[in-house]
Amino acid sequence: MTGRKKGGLLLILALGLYLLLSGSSSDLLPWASDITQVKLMRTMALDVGEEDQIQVTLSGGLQRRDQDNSDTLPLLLNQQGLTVFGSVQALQTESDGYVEMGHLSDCVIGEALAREGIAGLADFLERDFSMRLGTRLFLLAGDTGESALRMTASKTTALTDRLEAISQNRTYGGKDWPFTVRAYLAETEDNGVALLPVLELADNPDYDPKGQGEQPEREIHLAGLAYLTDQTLTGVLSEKESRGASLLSGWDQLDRFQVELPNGTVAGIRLVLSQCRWEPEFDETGRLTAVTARLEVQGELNELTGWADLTDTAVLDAMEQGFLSQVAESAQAALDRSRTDGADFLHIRRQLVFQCPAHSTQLLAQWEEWFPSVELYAAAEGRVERSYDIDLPMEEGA
Amino acid sequence: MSLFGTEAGHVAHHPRREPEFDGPLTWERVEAVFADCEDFSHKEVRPPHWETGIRVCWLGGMVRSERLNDYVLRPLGRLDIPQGERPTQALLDGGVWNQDAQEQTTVDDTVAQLLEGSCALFLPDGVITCSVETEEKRSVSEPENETETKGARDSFVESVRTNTSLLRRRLRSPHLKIQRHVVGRQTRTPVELLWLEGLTDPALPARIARRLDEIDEDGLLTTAELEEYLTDPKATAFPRVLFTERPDRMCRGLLEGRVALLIDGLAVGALLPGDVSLFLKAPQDRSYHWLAATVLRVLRYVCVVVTLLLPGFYIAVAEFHFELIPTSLALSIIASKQDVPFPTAFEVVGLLVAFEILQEAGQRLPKTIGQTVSIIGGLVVGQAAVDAKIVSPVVVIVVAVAGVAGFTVPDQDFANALRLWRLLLALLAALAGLFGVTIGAALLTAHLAGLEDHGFPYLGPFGTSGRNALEGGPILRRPPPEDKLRPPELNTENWRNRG
Repeated sequence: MTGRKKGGLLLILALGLYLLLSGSSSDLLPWASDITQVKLMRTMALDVGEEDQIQVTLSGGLQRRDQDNSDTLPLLLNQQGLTVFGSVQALQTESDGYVEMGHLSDCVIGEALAREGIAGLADFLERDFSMRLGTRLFLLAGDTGESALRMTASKTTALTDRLEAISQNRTYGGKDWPFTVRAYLAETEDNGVALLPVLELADNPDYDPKGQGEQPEREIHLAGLAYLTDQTLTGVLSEKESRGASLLSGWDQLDRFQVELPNGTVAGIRLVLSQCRWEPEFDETGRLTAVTARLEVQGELNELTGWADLTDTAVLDAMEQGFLSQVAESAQAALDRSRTDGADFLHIRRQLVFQCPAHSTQLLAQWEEWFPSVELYAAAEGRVERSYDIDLPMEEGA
Repeated sequence: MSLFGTEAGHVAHHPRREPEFDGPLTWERVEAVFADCEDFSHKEVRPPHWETGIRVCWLGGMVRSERLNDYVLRPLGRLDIPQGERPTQALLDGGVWNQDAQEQTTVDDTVAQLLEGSCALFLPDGVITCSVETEEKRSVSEPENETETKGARDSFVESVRTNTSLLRRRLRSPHLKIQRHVVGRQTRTPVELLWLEGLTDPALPARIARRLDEIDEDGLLTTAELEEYLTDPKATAFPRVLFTERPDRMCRGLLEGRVALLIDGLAVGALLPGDVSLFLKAPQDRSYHWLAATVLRVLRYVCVVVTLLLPGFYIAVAEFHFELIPTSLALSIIASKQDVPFPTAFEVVGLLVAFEILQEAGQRLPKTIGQTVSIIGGLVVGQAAVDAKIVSPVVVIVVAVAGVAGFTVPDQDFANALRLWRLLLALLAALAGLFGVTIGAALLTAHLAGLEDHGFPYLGPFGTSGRNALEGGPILRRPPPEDKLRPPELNTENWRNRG
């Protein structure tokens, strides 16, 4: 074969390969669009719209961080439709560039919509090729997601920045933020119940109505956790229950506790390690009768509001007992709420199936029947590291 | 006519005329051959008791006057031939004081000897040529392109004999064989083929010698002419012959089992067969500690990937696959591209071309001016273009990183091939995004895998033969005591290079 023929054959093979890879599309070449022609959307808010529609609000966040952006508010696009996908597609006509959803990092769901159900949203997040499974999910208590986007936006900040900060400060989170699309879909698939963090809006004391967008009108805070059963918001946990749920799920590292010592001094303790071991009890028939969540925790003394004799074992014991009892109470509160509501948002069944493979078949088959009558206990053990004692001389306190 | 001139297929084969100068070997005939040649000189010498003189001719400038006068003309003036002896034989037996006196029988050979710096003696019963060539040449100096901090400082010069002596001084082995070939109808360039007998695959020098003898062109004046005659196929940008100006590097190649070529008139030597790993090894790799050398080699391979793929990858992600870019980086790119009127592909390809133009301009100009052009072009014009929003800073960084990464490749020919493919991959990326880059990379891999030089595959060092696996492959440089085997793909007669 001559070189020219070989070259021709190679070209044909390359074209064949290309057609194969591109799915033999009628458009031979992929569609190109320069990156400056697209609008990267960072945050999506979903609310109940008019006439059973879903309202989708998209925010582009602050686009030009390296330049003077004093006259630029984050881009907001709003549309309603019967489906999330329909609304997003309808938004394409409202923007002066292609609305790119591939960089969506946060999704805020209004409480009203969450109570009606978010099955459509979950399906969209799972199916749409441009969505990322790492997108963070939040619920907004008492308000709409659109309000959150509008009222927290200013010329210097956007909601996405605040949510990024919340996810990184690791309250209700471990090493990685646990409330993502991936986790939500997996938990829902597991037993139909999934936990999501709850946000709430608060007034911004620095807000000046005449400030022309220099400061956001409202601030947003993390308010706890809520759980969705069958894609519908069914319960919002109290602060104590939320802390317990995160402790039992192994998320709540770097949480802080305040323990009052016998002399009235308050010790500020940081939680640095939390591990939960589930101990089931079965009766002679193999029925699950009780589960004990045994928490192994480690705290670190960070502050004393007054004097305390840290060389005194009684003081140290009181500090540790106070710390452990707070941990155990929080965990017990979460367990009680789970059993009261009949919602296994702590995924105890999954834990036990992994831990007791001999009982896995029965656990999977009869969990619904057993769960309401199973006794749930929480116990905490661990210690508080004193860090260094600043009252002692350097060579002793180091 | 085509873009590259008349197509080869349209030109009939025109074999060299043999002999070029027919007819009997006479003074008149040789004088006619060199008619109108101002440097053709001759002199008649009449030895004592001779009735006719001996005509001596030579080419001015090609011979050394002292040698001609002292060892040819002076003995001729005192020539005393015993009765009955042939004058030609008497001269060959010591009548002239010359180590290389030869009797000639054809005009072609005589002319060739004159052109190489011999003088011709026309005797009554024959013609003798004596080598009295001049040895004027550039002295051995430091290599300019392959510098090394801890190694030898000598480099090849334009004289092939000097170059063989540089090799002999390092490779004091009787197994080093040197075979002479003459290439070029008009230039008659001496090309010497070197190999280590008992080590190199014997088929290799034989095959290259045959290819050298088959070269039939007017002149051999540049390296590419030789390479393109010796290697197949021609339709590749990748070099198959390593040209080096360092004698130590050539010795290393010979010890690995390769063959070398030295061309008279060129201050470089050629090593072949070449493969990818050979072109990515730098001379100083053997001067550094094996760990440092290995890290540098790995870095070089990474740089090859970067220089090849970075511009194309950037075009692909900035025009087709935005979702692949981390969000913060995407925002930075968008911010940097605000107000730039050109699409990313045009920016990158345009800047790549500008980069090539600057590089070419820098090489064509004298060194000092070339540096100035690079500074003006790279810094001043580049900064002005960014300030004027003609190109974005990110594209400047991408092209600059790709360009600088390409400079880590030790061999300029290999780097040139990468430059060509870099542009091709960028164009494919502009056409079809990552599909294009993937197809381009696949084509490049297939192309490289299909290349071979004299039966040795271009990607041979990356093969998985038993010895390759034993030696750790071509990228890692092992400590010398553990690196006991020669490159297996060279089929050397002697596998081991140390005890």
